[in-house]
Amino acid sequence: MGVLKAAWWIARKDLAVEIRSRELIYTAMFFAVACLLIFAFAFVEGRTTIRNAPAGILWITIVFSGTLALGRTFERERQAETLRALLMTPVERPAIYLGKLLSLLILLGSIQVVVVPLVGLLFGAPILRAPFMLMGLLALGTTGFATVGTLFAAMLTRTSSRDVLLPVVLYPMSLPALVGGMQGTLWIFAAEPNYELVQTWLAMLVFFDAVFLTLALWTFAPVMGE
Amino acid sequence: MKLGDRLIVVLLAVSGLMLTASPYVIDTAPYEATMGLVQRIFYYHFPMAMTMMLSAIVCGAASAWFLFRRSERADHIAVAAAEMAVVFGVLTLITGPLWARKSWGVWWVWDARITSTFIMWLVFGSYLLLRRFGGAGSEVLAAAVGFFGMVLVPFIYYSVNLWKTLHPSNSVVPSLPTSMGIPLYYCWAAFTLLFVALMSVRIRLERSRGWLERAYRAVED
Amino acid sequence: MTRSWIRRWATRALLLLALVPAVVQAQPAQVDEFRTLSPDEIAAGQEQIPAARLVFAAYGIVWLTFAIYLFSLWRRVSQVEAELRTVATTLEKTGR
Repeated sequence: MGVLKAAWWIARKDLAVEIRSRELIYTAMFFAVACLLIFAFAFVEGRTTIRNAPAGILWITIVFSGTLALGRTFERERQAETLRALLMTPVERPAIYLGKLLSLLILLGSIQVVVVPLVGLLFGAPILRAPFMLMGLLALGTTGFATVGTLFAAMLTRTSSRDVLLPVVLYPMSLPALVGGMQGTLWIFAAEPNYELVQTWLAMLVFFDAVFLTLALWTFAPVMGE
Repeated sequence: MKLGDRLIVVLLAVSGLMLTASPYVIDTAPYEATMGLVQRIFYYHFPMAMTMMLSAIVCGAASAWFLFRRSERADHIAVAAAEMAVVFGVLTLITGPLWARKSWGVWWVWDARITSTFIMWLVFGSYLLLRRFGGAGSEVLAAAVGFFGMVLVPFIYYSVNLWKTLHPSNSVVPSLPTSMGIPLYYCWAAFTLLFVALMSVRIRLERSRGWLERAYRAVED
Repeated sequence: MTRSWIRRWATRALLLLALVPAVVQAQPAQVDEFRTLSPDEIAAGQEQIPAARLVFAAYGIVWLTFAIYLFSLWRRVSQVEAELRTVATTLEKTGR
């Protein structure tokens, strides 16, 4: 079985579990909406949102709910001892990693389908100004975040204080990708959008994602191997 | 005393003496035209930043070595280097604002280089936190963090050329006049020696801990 | 017992460290606000922010930090080595 095919099967398995329980999608989405509520009290002055705040609101919400989802997916695996079982199957390590990453990306993507329009509606962010660039930024930024996140969340399932250690490790590590996403979105939402800068950030994000993915694939096997 | 111990003591003494004498050496340097006296922080700030980079690289390389070869010695080096990166990093991040307060008028600026240094410091801080609170098997996980952290280093070094801002650029040091270069290289040498000395003590500590663990296991058996 | 003692002193030292910038800042001219210097003021060689204090603070913090770090290293090494000796004697007693 090819690596990609095996990865796809693992992702499908994860998604089937999620579709049956809908635990992650409900909780993470609800958490994201709760985050938006908190931000309203910090970044709304009178009746309008503070300039340049929506990009930050959007990305912080994505990152926070993403961290929650990451932690929970692997916690579920740990409780059911399924990760160990998965590691014992004759599937190659990179395939397991890619499968996990794929299912997480689909999950985070479906949260964003709700969160992004909400940020547009509640905070007046011009999300339809450059929809394809925004989608590109969201996809690439989330990929960068999830690439590092999947690696470290998988690693940390074995440690005792994983809930606190995951964000501690993940935020500084995935920062280049998050900065790219945030800055790019900022330039789309700005009063005078600068699409050249957005393109620069998109290119940087492609570069970061490539670096992160290569490194993660490289380190996943020795870290998870026993 | 064994030869290794004696070497550590000599290293510590030499670097300590060099640091004690450093204000006199720095005093020979002329005043910088626009920044004046406060520019003298540079003679400490820059070597500290470079030593932090060095520690980061050592930690990353040792982590990679440990990750792919499972060498215990590499793991000891990696922990020691991570601790150095945090200590030298915190000093870089403290001496920087003290200098900036006078020459830029503010304590902190979110400039590219400062921000990346701060990120790197957080990365190696999280390495230590992971080792401290991660429980059994955390050294492998920390090694992955150290390895990732090292890969961030070149990005950090060139970031200043990518987004040019307030921070003096990388070309300052090679173009330094000799009168300022001598104290700088003197301090750099002193801090590098101190780094080597502290590293060897820290590695020895980690090795003793390994022995202790093995001895405890022997007692239990 | 010794560890808690070290921790107490380390905390005090850290608090002291945190005080240094505050002391440096506690100048009558700029207590209540951060002021950006204009190039003219810098050229005039004014001493609104005393440079000497900043330089001394920087050097002082560096030395103090290394002193504290060295001390903590020394404590940790001697503690582990003392423990190693006790374990070694236990091992010898049990004849291994």
